[in-house]
Amino acid sequence: MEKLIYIKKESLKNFLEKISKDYDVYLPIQNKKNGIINFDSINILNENYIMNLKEKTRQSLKFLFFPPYESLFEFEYKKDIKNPEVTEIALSKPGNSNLREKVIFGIKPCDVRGIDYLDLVFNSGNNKDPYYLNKRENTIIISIGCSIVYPDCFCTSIGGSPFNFGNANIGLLDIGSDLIVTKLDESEKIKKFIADYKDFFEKKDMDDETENKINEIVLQSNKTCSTNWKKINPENITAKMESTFKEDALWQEITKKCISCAACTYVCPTCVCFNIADEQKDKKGERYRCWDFCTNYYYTLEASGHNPREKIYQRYRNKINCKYNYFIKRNKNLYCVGCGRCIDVCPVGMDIREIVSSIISF
Amino acid sequence: MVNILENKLKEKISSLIEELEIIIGYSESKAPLKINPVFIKTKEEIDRLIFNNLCVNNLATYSYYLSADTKGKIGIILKPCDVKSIIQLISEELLIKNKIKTIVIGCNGIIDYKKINKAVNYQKIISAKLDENNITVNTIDKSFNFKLKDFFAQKCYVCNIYDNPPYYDEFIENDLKLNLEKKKEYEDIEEFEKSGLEKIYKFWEEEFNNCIRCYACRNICPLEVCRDKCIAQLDEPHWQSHKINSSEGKFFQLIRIFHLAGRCTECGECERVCPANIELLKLMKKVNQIILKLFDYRPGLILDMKPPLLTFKNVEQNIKDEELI
Amino acid sequence: MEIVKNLLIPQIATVKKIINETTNIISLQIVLDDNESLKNFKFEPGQFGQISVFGVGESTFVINSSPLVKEYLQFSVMKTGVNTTAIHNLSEGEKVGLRAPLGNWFPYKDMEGRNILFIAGGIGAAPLRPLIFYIIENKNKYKNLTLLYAARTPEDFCFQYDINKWKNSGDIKVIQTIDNACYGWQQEVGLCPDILEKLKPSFENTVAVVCGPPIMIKYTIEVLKKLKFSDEAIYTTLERRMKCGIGKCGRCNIGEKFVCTDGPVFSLKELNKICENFI
Repeated sequence: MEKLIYIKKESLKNFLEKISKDYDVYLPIQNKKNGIINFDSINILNENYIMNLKEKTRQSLKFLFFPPYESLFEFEYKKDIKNPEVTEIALSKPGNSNLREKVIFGIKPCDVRGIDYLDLVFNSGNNKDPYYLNKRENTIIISIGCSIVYPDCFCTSIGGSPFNFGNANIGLLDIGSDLIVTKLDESEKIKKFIADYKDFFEKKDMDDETENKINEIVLQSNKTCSTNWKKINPENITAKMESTFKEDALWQEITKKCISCAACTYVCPTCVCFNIADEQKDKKGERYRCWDFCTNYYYTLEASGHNPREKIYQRYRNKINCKYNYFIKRNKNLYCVGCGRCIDVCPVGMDIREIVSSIISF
Repeated sequence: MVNILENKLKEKISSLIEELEIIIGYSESKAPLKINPVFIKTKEEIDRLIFNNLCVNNLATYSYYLSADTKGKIGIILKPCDVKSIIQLISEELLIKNKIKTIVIGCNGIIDYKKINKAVNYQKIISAKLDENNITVNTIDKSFNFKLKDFFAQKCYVCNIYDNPPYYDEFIENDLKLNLEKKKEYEDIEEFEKSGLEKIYKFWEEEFNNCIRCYACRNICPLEVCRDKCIAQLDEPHWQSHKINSSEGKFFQLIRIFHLAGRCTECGECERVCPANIELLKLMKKVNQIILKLFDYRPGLILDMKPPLLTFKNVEQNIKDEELI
Repeated sequence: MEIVKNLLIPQIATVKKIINETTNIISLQIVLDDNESLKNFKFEPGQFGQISVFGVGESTFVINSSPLVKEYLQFSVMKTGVNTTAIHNLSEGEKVGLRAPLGNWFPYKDMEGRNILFIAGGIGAAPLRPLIFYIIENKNKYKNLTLLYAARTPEDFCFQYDINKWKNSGDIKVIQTIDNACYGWQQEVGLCPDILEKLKPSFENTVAVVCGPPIMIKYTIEVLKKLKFSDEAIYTTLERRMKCGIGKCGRCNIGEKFVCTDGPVFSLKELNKICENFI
């Protein structure tokens, strides 16, 4: 008979506290004052900050590996007294900080996929990003499938599913009383992790009741999610994006209400465009990068004053094409995970599903 | 239920649509408790228009940019409080009066959905239904039934123009009247200030820890027509750091406040749209309170009046030079 | 652990020489401070570099010295914004940061055995300069070379010292044109596309390489097509606002292509496949 590994919900708190002694643990934490859930360190939990595993976090997880602002290097102008005509420049490169290993707990399958896409951008090809890799490596990802699917979720439409754990190291399924381990990767790291905390990973024989429960939850979630939007075929959608690209009137029409802020971009798990800038005080300074968004006017503004994407509809068209066209061509994947965060935060009710649908039906 | 007000609105729009190039109004949204701005051009689209207590968006936001992009006249459906933004824009010569047709609907209060979110303990709302006096809200496992009047926006409590807009081209009267116990203007600010400087600073420190500098507050503001020229994003010259952190968030907000001093009509859009739920309106109100004291001026009420910060007087009645030092 | 090269950190370099090209364009000759890197530095014609003035920022310029010259790297800078102004304010001996070489290059191997028509507008001569040097050096592999160089006024031609040399050597036929007639000017007068139409170069076995301001590229390509040049035989280099230069920051995309990693050199055939307008 198949063995079932599970974590009892009642021992979850102890489990997390225990692992936080050896790892930096991040989990979805709700600020009771304003209701916002975000990934944060387990250390901030108190009566005002509580764990919430039910709903999506407001911001995606990307900030952990790709922070809103990070220093690239520091520089200093130095004068040699013996040779005062020459000003030397000293660069100090950031060291590989000794980050503790991380455990990210309670991440949804859509966000796991988001991390996969970040890896595709920052950890593939010739130009790998050391800043990202430094934070990304040594991370254990423990995902919990979505027993509850909300109206703005649409992962099933774009090739995901509420229980597709992708590259998560451990995948859990919430059946109410327990969290059932439904995915466990084969790596030595995870074997060791399970062994280290074996007291919390209990085992029992799979029984009919549990099996039915699991099947029921998976079926229900998939069903609910698939009613939220139609299925999108990556090949067809690229062709459609291509053929509608020059339909300026269409794009103007569907983006009229967009105010070109960054709310959707900054909460998106896959948007990773950034800006680079220098700042200097006296002789010392730093070069840093920070998040940037393609829907803003400055994004493509050139020093000459020429702006290839001057109007909002051109910039929004780029954004949608980036997700539903360009990325597919480059990496064979839709660059959207179906988390629905952009829909949730949009000040003017832009819904990416409606936008893409109206392009498809054009 | 036949919505009498909506019918009146649609009739009015039908009679106006010929002379207008485009009309901005409210339409249904799939998202619970929200509405969508809609841009209509033809008679067939008029049926999409709605008006109810959820129509919080200030559509004046679109007036500036749209009027630059259109040749003809633009119709905008507005609540009486939203008209203030239009008045302010016209008085600052940012909008041309003749290009805008203001279609104002009498208002009986609008819902602050952040209040509802709080009342349902910040659980995600998956559906909602509104009638004349009540609102039913469903979360994933519970249903709540609330009285509308408990969830009106803060600004409704000090509103005295709900059936008497300071400016309009067309006015559609609402049979339902705003019926709230009035509060004193800036009462909430005075209350907040009682906690003392130290606590106030700590409060903002915490609030701005969540700021991600998405500029939604700036871009939704009807008066911040400067979004494509904002010094906060300029590279050349590099006026403000592009770093995304608490102190830069605060600094950006300070720039905003000063830019809006004596201009902000307190529509509350910035606070509504903030994805980090920062209570931005408090800041705006504080500055407006000072402006009121110094210049006896409330933005957005008188069309032909030059805003005090756009003019110069040799002697200001309420500003004593010695007090400034 | 995998050692990943940090491509965002520039190398320190010294400005050895500054040449005034026109009233607002200078050329910098830059030498990497690290001897080892200098010795191993290789680039192909068309590749670009990012020059940093620390504290001000980084800007993108094509490397325009000959790939055969090992002593220095040359970049030409037009004064347009804060970064370029800072570069103009540099003096010889000062330090800058350099990230190079980046991007792709002209497919000069594919051009072998063909006539080459270079068309440049203003500072657009910069990307062509290393290619012309390379091709002249290997001229036995190529057929006839022609350069049509357009500028607003006689004072706006960059690299006049090269042009004089080329004209004298007869390696390449050079035609210069200015927008409006002026006293003492004895060469062509008129906009680049018009002169091209007048010259009517044969499309047969010919590759055209067009560099210049977007508007000039646009109309010149139209004329080339009129003259029956095929899309594969037309090359250009594109510009977009760039930050990282290594295909990460996202802003230089034209359609699915990044100018920094897929470009800056494109054939018209490639560009026609992209849905977004490249001009």
